[in-house]
Amino acid sequence: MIATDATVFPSPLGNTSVRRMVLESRSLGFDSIVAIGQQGWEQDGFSVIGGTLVREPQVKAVINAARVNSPAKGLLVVNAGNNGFNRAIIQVKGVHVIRHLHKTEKNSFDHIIARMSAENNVAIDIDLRPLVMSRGVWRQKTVQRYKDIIGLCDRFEFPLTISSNARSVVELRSVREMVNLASLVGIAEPDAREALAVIKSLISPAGPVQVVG
Amino acid sequence: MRPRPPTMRDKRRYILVRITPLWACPDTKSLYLVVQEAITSLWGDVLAAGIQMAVVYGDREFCIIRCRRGCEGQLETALSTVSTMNEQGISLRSYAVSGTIHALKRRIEKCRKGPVPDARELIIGERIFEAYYFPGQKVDLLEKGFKSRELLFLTETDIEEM
Repeated sequence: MIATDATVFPSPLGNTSVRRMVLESRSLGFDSIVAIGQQGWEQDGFSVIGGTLVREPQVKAVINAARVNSPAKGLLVVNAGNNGFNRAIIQVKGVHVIRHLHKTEKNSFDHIIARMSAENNVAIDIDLRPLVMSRGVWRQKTVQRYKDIIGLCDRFEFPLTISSNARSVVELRSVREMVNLASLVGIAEPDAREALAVIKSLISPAGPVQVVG
Repeated sequence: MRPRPPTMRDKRRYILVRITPLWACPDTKSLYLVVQEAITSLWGDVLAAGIQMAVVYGDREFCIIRCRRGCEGQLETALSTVSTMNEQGISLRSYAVSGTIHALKRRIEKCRKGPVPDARELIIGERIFEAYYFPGQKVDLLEKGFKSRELLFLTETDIEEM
C-alpha cells in the first residue's frame, strides 16, 4: 500500500457512499481507505479496509470489540480516554489504532504509554479534521497536543497513522494536502508518507522468519 | 505613477485550484474572502501580508490564485483548511503551480472533462432531489426544499440499487 486514509465515514455515518469515497480517494492519490462500519473489499487494485470504531470509554467494550473483530474483518480503532483507560486498551490484543488523543487531558498519553504502544505495535492516529475545521484557540491546542505526540514518537518510534476523518467528499484531502497539513504539527514529509503507508503493517504485522522445506 | 520595470517587480506564482463540488459556483469575491480568512487564521497577519494572495481568475470548476514566489507551500496548506463557504461545504484542491496565468489556462483546457452538467430532477421515495451527473459515474444529489436540504454524494450504481 502506498497511501491509506486511516479513517473515513461513508454512509450511513456520512453523506457519501463507500463507492463514491473510493472513486474520489483514488483520484486524490490513495490506494486504500479504512471505512468505518463497512466490510473490507477490493476493486481494481483499490482496497477498502473495514473498520470498527469503539467510542465508549470502557475497557470491557474494547475487549468485546476486539473479540468480535477478526483480522479479516478489519481495523479496530478506539477513541482515547484518560491515562488509565489508554494504558489498559493498549495491552488489549486486537486493538490497532487509538485516535482522538487531542480531545483528552494532557497527561492521558505519557512516555510510558508511548513505549507500550511501540512494543504492542498500536498506532496513534493524527486526525487532520480539527486542523481543517477548527479555528483559533482550539486549533492551537490541537497543534500543541499533536506536537507533543510527535516528540514522543521521535523518541519511542511507535507507529503513526494520518486520517482525514471525512464524512463527505468535500472533507477528503489528497495525499499532498495531508502531507502539507501534517507538516503543521511537525511531521516531516518522509515521515508523513510513511505514516500514510503504515496501515498494512498493523493489519498483518511482520512475524518471525520461518524456514520452509 | 509609472509601473516598475520587470526586473524590480516581485516574482509571483500562480496556483490552479479545483473547486469541489462543481455545482457550488462561487464568485471570485467569496473565494477571495474565504481564502484570505484561511491564510490569516493559519499563518497570522504578518505572513498573510507577505503571501500577497489574490484571486485572478475563476469559473465554475477552476480558479487561479496568485501569491508571492516562495509562498506557494504556505498558500497550498492554507487552501487545504478551507472547508465551508456561505454555509456550504466546499474544498479547494491545488492542482498545479506555474509562473504564468497563461500556462495554467492551457492546463485548465486539458483538465476540464466537459461542461458542468445541469441539474436533473430525481425522485427517491417521497423526496425530490436535484441530480448532477458527472463523468466517472459520479452523482451529486441535492434535496429540493427550503429547510433541510440533504446532500448526498453517490454513484450511478448506488442510485440503481436504491
